[in-house]
Amino acid sequence: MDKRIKPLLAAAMMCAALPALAAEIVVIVNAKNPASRMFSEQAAQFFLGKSTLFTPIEHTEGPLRNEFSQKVLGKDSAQVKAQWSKLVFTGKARRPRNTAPALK
Amino acid sequence: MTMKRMCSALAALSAASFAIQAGAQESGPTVTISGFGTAALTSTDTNDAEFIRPNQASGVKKDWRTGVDSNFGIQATVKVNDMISFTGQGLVRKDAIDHYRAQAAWAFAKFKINDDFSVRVGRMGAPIYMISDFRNVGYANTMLRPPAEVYRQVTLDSFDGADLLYQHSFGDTSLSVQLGTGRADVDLPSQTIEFRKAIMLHVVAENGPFTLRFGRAQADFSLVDNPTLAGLLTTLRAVGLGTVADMMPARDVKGTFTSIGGTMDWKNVVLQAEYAMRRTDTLLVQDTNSWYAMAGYRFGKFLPYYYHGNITQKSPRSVAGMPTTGPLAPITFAINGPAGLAKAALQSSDAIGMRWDFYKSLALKVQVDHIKPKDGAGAFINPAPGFKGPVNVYAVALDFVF
Repeated sequence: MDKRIKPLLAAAMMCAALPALAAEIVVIVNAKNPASRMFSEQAAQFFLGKSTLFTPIEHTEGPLRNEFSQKVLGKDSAQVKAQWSKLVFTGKARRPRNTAPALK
Repeated sequence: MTMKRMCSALAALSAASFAIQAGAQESGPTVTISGFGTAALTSTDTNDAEFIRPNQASGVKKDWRTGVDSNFGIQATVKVNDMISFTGQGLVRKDAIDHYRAQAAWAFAKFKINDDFSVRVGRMGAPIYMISDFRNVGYANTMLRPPAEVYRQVTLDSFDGADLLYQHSFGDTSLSVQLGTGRADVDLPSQTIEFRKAIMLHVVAENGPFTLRFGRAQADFSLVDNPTLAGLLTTLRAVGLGTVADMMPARDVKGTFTSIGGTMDWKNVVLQAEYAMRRTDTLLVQDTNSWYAMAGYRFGKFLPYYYHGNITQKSPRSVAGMPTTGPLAPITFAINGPAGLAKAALQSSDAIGMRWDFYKSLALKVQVDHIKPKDGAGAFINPAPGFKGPVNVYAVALDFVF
């Protein structure tokens, strides 16, 4: 097989604890992904469709996703949606899929 | 702070299970259907002329109408595998044919060569302007409609051909380049424009809240199916004004369109601006420079904005040395008169508006344009004799995506 880095899948944001415990938001990366650390600006590129190196998977809609949008992407959810509709309706990118409920 | 800001990239090494990957991996083709639309009402404060979007055969006066700013689009993408996908988009709106009609906006196959390069073949959006690709998607835009001063310069929405897409990140900056070539036939109310040997370049650099965009398009175009124009050119040659006819070729004329633009969405400040130059080798399609600049400020879900747009003509607005009296005066009038062939539609706009993201995937917009035609009727159609504006245009629109 070729040796290039495959966009193996990527990142699901996830919360391990209750919001009351002031949980941190984490980006989960596929085990085969060679990235060892990632800054939020880089993560934002994937979640806003500015880079297709990794394929992001979003958390299902809700307060946690809104918090992720605000803190990591620096946009509210309507702005994120508007950003994605720019890309989706050019046929240049597809919106990230949501996590399966089991992953929550 | 830094710990909080830094996302833990959990790269548990190879021994980790395949659970997540297996759960998310797709097998076989996947189909995605998405859509967008705008339901809008538009009116003006005059009955002396009609306000249109570029290319529409009829517009609005004082009575509120849906036809100018409403549309509906639906898009299907079939992803065959990681390399190949097919996308089709249909769009319903009013344009040169004076009723709502559906168009196959796009239908193309996309081949992903590697992480950076893709090739598309088929019918694709023509990247003439900064927001060409999503100008019909109201939800993706701040303004209710693209500023006409810039966006009526080239009436080319899509082309048939191929293009190469390149996307790469250099640190925090992502660069995307689109280079396309092909052809298109565009039906206008009075004629058809055939674009041939079109070459379009679209370069976008994004860094955080900033976007810079450069575009260059060129083509050989012909104005066909216009008996009035053909008759005029024949007459000019018959009466010894061949030199004038030579200034107005209508076949295989070279034209270029060069534009630069940028956006900023930083904290609560939203800026967007474009400057564009149209150049051709015929007086029939005048050389023009146009620009607009928009500024908005976000108050939570509300985004009030203002923009100014303007267009000026660089080629002569009349042909010198033509007879103004005698039997040939009507020909001169057809070229040099107020709505003559040598005259580009000139105007300036000031608009204020508000976007309200009041619900998931829904945005409500209101916008008032104050449009001042210059030396003619501007971009208005069917003007009453002596019409010179200014005109206020009122619109309310509901944008949605799904």
